Amino acid sequence: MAGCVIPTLRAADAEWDQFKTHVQPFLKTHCYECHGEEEPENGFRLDQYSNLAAIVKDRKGIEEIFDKLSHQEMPPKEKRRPAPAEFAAVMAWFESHLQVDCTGPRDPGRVTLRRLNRAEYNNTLHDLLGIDFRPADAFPADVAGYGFDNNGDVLSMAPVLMEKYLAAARLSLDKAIKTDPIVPPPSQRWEAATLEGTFAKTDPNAAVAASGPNFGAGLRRTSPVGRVFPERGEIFVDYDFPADGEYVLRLRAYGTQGSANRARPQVAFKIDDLPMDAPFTIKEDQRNTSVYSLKKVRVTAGKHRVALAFLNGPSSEEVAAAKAAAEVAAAAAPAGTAAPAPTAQVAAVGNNEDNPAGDAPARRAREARVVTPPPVDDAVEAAAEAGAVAPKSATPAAATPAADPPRRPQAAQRPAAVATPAGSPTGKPTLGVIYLEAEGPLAPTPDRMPESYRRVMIAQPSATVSKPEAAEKILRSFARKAFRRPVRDDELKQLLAFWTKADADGRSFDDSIHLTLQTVLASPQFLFRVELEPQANELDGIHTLNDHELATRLSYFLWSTTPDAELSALADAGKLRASLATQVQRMMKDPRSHSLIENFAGQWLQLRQMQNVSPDLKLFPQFDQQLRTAMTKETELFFNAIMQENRSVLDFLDADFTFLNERLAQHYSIAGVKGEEFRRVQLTDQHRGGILTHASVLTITSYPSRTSPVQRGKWVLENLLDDAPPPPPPNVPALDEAGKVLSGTLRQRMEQHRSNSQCASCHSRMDPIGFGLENYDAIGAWRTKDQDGSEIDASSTLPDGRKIAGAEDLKEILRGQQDRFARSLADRMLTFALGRGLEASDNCVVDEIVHALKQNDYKFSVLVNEIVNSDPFQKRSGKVAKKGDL
Amino acid sequence: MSNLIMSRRTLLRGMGTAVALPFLESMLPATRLFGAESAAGGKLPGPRRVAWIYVPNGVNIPHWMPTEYGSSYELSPTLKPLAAFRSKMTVVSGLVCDKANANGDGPGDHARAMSAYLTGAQPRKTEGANIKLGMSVDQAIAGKIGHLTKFPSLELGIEEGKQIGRCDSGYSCAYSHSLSWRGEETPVVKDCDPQSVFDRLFTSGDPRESAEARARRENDRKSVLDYVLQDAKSFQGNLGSADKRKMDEYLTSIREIEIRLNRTVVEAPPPSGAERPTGKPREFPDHTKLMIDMMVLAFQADLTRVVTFPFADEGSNQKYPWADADVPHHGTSHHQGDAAKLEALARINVFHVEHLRYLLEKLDSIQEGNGSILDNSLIAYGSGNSDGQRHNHDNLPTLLLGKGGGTVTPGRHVNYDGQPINNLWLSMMDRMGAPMDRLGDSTGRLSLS
Repeated sequence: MAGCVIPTLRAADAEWDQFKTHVQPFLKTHCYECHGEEEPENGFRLDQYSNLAAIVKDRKGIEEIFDKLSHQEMPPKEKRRPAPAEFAAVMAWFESHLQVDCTGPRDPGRVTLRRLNRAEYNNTLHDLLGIDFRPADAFPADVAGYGFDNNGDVLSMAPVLMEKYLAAARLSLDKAIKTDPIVPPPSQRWEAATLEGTFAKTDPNAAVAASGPNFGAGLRRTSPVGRVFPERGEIFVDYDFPADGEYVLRLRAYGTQGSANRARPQVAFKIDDLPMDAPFTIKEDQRNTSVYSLKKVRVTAGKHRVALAFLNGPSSEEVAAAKAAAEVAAAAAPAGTAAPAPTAQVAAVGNNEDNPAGDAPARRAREARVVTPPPVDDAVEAAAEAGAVAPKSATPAAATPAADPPRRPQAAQRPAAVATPAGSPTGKPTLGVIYLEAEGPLAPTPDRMPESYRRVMIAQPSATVSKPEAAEKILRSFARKAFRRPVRDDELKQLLAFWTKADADGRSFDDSIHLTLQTVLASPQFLFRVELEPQANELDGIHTLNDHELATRLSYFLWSTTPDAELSALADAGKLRASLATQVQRMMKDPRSHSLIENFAGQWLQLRQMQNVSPDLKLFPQFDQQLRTAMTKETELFFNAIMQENRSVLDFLDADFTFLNERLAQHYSIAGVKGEEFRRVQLTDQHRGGILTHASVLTITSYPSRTSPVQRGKWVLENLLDDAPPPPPPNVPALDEAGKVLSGTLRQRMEQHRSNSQCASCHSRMDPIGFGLENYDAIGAWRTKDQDGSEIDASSTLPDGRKIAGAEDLKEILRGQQDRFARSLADRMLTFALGRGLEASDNCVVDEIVHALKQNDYKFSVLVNEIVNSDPFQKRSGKVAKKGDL
Repeated sequence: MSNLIMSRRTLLRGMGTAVALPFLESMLPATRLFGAESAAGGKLPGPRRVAWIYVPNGVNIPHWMPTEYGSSYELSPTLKPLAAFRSKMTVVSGLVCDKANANGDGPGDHARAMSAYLTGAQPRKTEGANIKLGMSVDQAIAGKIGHLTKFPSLELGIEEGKQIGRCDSGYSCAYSHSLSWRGEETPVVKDCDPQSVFDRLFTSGDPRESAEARARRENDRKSVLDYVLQDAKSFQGNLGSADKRKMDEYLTSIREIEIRLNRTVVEAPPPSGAERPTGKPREFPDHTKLMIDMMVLAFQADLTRVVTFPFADEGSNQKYPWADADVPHHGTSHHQGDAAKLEALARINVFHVEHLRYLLEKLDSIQEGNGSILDNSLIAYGSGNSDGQRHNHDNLPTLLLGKGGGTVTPGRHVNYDGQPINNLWLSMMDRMGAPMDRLGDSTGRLSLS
């Protein structure tokens, strides 16, 4: 590209005169025949430059003509060639005309409305919703323009894509807000042994020491004891329910059936003395304590008494009678066999995570076990199955030894001996309760929801917040982030109107918000990065982007995602421009700047191509997935180091360090790197250093089976020197048709190829560079012999006559081309940052960036800052038609 | 050729006008139009379908082109796999895609071949800004008869996003990626994911989803679309012209989905035996067969009548180890006369033709009235490059498969020496009931019978 030029005061008249004298006659003679008034070839008419204004207006057309002429693509070769002098004069006019004047007002150019590309969409959704979901991976691939897939002009919209956007909006909102709570509802548990009751508490020490019968010899786990009910009655607790809502009440319990009528213990929950739900039967014995849940109950916030009632146990009278009978029996028994107070703690091997006890006490307890006498009175009626409270008659039977005071109306203050739920001498069922539990409120509260839910659902309807108020709050905040600017009142009103309809359909609050947010995510305001004209129809002016537009450009340039809270807050406050430098610095330090590697470096260096290369495995059996990944990683880490350490961008061309793991080090024949993880390696091997010697770049530019000096040379010219050779001219006779058969080594064949003058002009630029890299094979390993065993010759002669012996000389020459490299990099990064192809008017800016780099040791941060501060990045031209629109 | 047509054409020629009149079914004698199958006089039952299957990088011409013409020609080696379909196939040679030639624009034959193939328009050479081409034949047909089916057209593909950065010689990748063009500036994105195609065809992200849930979801989608359409209209006023073009693309997309949702009263369930694919298979043959399955399903359930399907993007370097051609396609197509490369190229060509046969077998196995779907279809198969080495765009390798509901006379090798390939497209449009005076660089029609 032509450099920025010292301002010259061109007399417009003189320029026009020269056009008339030299150029117009030339065009008339050589071009009008095909590109004239009548059916102009390919729509190009060259007869319409009737005054200087017409020429100035159609810069792109003039550039095109210049391009065709200078590459001798036009006039077609079968037509008469222009005379050299005539041609030179014409070219001189073009060159002078096309030089850009950097002194006048600058045209910042105009970026076309950009749709988010796949990477941007994924990242944006991630930041907006806080979910790890990459729906765009399944979108159709984005087309690239000017080397990057973020180009507004070529990123098109289509029904199939729109369908995917709609589905992605729905699914990602599902993931974000239609999700289960990640934190269970709060719950409160009470160990039954500690609760107040209508009878005495069990002595916890006695309980622990008590043993169970030896149910199953191999089982050595202890069983829980909990609270043994000596008689029917209740245990209860006063609980301050935290909120209105549904709760689940639970208990873990066990029991025995009554010997009298085989009834199992029946229990019921009560709240404030009102029975909740039907009574339920405790089916498990102590080995298998089980958890029973009450169906959900609605409870209002505040203190309530939660009670568990044992419905069909013996009454205190029955207990007393049984005790008396036992005493009689004991007195009759031979001394020594009499049990002490028969603390028939039945224990066993139940699941006892709730009440763990060591093996030792359990064993001791087993030893101390006293067999409870069998129930005597079969006639004793147990409580009715339905949960009737008291037996009809109370027949005394064997004593229940635990019963301390026969009955107390309120909680016993003294610890009770361990009772026996192993089978009551009264013939009634027995019950042991490990714990009671209240869980709730069950309705998911925001604080229990995942981060994504809380990020979106920032308000909830409540006693003090109406539904519409909560909806408005959510919609305003979400749309603010999704549209990357404050939401206008009329927009919010429309969103709310939509929400109101969704709400009126009888959806839950979450669902109505879900649907409304789908419209936000399907809106062009979200899918496109919108930059509006400040005033409608003000199409010719140049204007500075507002802070929100700037924040958006900044974050998509450096992060490939939406502005974060800090950028947005600064933009809201109108303070972004004042703190631009600080912000850029912060953003570069943020991990999100990694996107510059994936999206900028991945395309600038064509690193993404590493996914597609497929070296011939017969020739390169050592190439595999690990090596592919390692090659990519080296270049990524290298780019990252230059970026994060703010190194000179010239390090790209040559550096004394790189990043390796064992696999890649082996590939490079560098010793001493062990293990899979990458680390920085100081290079002593002169064969490596700088991206040109990275296996990634060398592989990308090779054919599957061999190196390609042409592709390598072209890669260097195109990506590092901003000097893409023009594509081969059309209708070059195919090599075999040119009448000679190419033979010999690759180098010899290439040389024969260059003997064709049409090919020579470009190949003499590309090939020597590529030959300089011949010591690297098609997957970037160092070699001194070719596949056929012949010695590698990496020497060549550059077009200017300089000779190089190999990669090192080449790198040295490239380092000498630092401004060309800087210009190339600036051109590429500016193109990426803007999302449009550069125009001639951008030349001045590129020049300034190169100048600034030169003044500042080519530091990476200078490149980024200069771009961010440039006119094309900060401003926008309002003109309607592109210059190239013919 | 019918006398009636003859006389009109003759008349017009006599008047010295070059205007080509649209082909109208009424201008054809009934036997030609309805085919022999419908002796009863009724139209051959079942709708007509049209599809384009594109082969990138040209072919090995000597292996491809039969050497004799007429109905007793001998099948060429490349076309041998199609022997069973000989009576339903027309081998067409001699057609030209002139707009794929440089015409002053320099190199870029791959990008041009792909983009000019169905448009007959010269792509404007640009990497991005000001993309300009023309409407492609499939989209032109879809524009006219698309309202009859759930999808006006389907754009399928295999390869996407393999080309990083720059594509072909200064042409935007949009050109070398896209066969279908909705308008001058709008390439149509192709869908390369068989699961996604299935879900679009049968409107179900999940087959287990209940009917009510699906209805609710569709309803929600309608209300979302309604809303964004209104919303988008409201901010159009503040945009510049290039931006407006982008917004137009957006609005068109929204409207098209809306129209589809409104049109589809009852969602067609997938034909019995149809299975929902799970994602994109990694290997080319599996992937291609699945995409073909989707095409067949779409035709079978009459969800679309227009399909385009390139095997790969132009310039593709797909390798074909399954055809004993573990070499990059594009590189191989530049055979430089090398016998080994030419043979590998021929094997790749045969491999593609075998996938065509897979499609034909499927279409021919589905009965429709007295014939099969294939009998009611016109499937064009070919490349915008002839010889990959020469990058020439004349004598294009072209096949026309199916009987177009009895409107063509297959079983022959015909040579339309030097005629624009768009004349073939124009003739296909007629048979789809979507006639146009002209498309791209068309100059007239081919009789095909």
